[in-house]
Amino acid sequence: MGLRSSPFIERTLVLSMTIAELFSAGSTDWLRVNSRLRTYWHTLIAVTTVPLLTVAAIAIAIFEDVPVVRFIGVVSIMVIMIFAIWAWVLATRRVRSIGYRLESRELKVSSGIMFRRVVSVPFARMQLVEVSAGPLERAFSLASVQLHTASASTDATIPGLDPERAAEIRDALAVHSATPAAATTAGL
Amino acid sequence: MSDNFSRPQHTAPLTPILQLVNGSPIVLVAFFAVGLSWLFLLIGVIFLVVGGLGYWASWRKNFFWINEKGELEARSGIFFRRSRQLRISRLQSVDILRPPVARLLGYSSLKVEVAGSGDSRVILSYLSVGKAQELRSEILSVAKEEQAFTQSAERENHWQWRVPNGRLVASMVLTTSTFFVIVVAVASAVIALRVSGLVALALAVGGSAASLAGITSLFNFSVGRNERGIAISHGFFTTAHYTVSPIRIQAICLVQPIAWRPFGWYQIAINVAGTEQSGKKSGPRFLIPVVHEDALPELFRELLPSWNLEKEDEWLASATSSRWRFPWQAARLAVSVTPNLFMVRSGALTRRLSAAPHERIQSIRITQGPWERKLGISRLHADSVPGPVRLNGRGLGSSVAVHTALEELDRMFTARESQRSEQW
Repeated sequence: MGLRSSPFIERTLVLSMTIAELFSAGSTDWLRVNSRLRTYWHTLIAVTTVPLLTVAAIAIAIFEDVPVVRFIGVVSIMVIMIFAIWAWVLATRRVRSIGYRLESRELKVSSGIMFRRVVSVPFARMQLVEVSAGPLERAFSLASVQLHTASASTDATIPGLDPERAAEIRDALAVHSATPAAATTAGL
Repeated sequence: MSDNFSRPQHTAPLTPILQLVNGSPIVLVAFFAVGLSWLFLLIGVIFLVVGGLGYWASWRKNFFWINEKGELEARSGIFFRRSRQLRISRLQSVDILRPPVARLLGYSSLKVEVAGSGDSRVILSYLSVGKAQELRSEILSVAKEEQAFTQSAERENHWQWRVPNGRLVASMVLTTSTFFVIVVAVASAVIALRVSGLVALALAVGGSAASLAGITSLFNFSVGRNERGIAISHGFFTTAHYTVSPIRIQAICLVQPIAWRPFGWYQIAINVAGTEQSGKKSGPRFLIPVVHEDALPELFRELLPSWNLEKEDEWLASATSSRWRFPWQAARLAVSVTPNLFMVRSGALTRRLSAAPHERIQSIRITQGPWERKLGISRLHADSVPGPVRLNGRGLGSSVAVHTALEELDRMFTARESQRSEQW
């Protein structure tokens, strides 16, 4: 199974990695998510902004004579547009920034453009692996895998996975959660 | 072992009345707000009667007992019957709660929690104080038996530490936030005194009282040690008792606001595992709200023997550039990986020293915002269970953060296996 690299190689790689590599997920060792995630996010942006814009436009049309409503309407349309365009443009880079690695004893997830983060969750701390796919995600045949620990601040979610891939990851993780901590030396 | 609780029984007969009194302050307030007109008196009486009957009916359908399988079984519900079984062998805590009205009449509630997610908690309201204590020790002794102990679970503290109420009030007044609230209240009172003396006085008293109200919940604070673990109890109007197994303490933080420094006072905040269910806090937040530094060694020896905070020589300091991001506390920011603990030092005005054993850290995160990237620094978070303590190493040089994270992860992998013997 190509999910894991050998412990030896991964260890030396990690140690020689600079912070930039660790953060950017730029190295080939980081597994990437499906690029359909970008289309999904674009659709999500459209689905949420279009109704808002419509409401604002209708409000302006109805209360044409009331300057306050017109002003608020125009401002909110501009604000919504700016946020939507911003999110639209950044979607590509956001998708590319997401990376994950299933290592011998832990899962690492990295993401973010402006605010970057890397989280590492040892398998022994894992309480629950959740595979989820909302209706819109299913339409793009995407799924997310989320790892839960006893801490609420552990934020290890991998979005934009093929459903089969998500199941594969879940099964790989489930093996670890089923075996007690002592079995971590088993390696491959 | 007494046979007392093996048969289904009700809570105290006074329960409906107590629940009514607890549930009807709105009605009572409405009385006084509107004045005692006959109409409102009538509505109020109807409310009380209907409510009372409702509480009485539900009380009649409420039973609890300890069944043969060693479970605390609780049945309730008038229309929808509900039955819950808590496995006493998986007991996490059994606490006596004493809400104000019930306390006046000598009644209390018993809160029983077992390990497990979801429906793992039962609160029995109300029981006479004697009965609550009896049931509590019964549950404890069942739990003990299940764990192959023979000795009766007498709740006797082997060691105890009390916080004097005077020092508690003094220390709380001297915390930075309370201090500001009181100063603002008094200042605005003084300014407004010329407008209307009475209103201003009320404002000042109200402002101070509001900030002091929280303190009464920590009155009569005592922390001790018995066979079940660490026993914490506190409260003036509502008393709370907690018994926490030391293994459930996931992280601690020594806190010292600036005004405590001359007195040498410290506070110890704790994160306790399994106390936050659906966002509601139900566990203790402090091991001790205020303690003099001379008593710290004894406290650690008795309550946290495996937590060794002494070794402070190997601190990894923050990067010099971090003073552009954290101007006040940059010099104090540091992390340390000791053989047993991950430690974080922070705070300029309020100093904090947080620590968590490697085996109880859930995950490691490194984060970096745009400004931090400019300065070449990163944050290293060691995630703990929800609670007041956060291990958040800020201002670290990025490569230091990464290498510390890797070292900490290594410790986390190995620590999990060697731990385990540290039960009470």
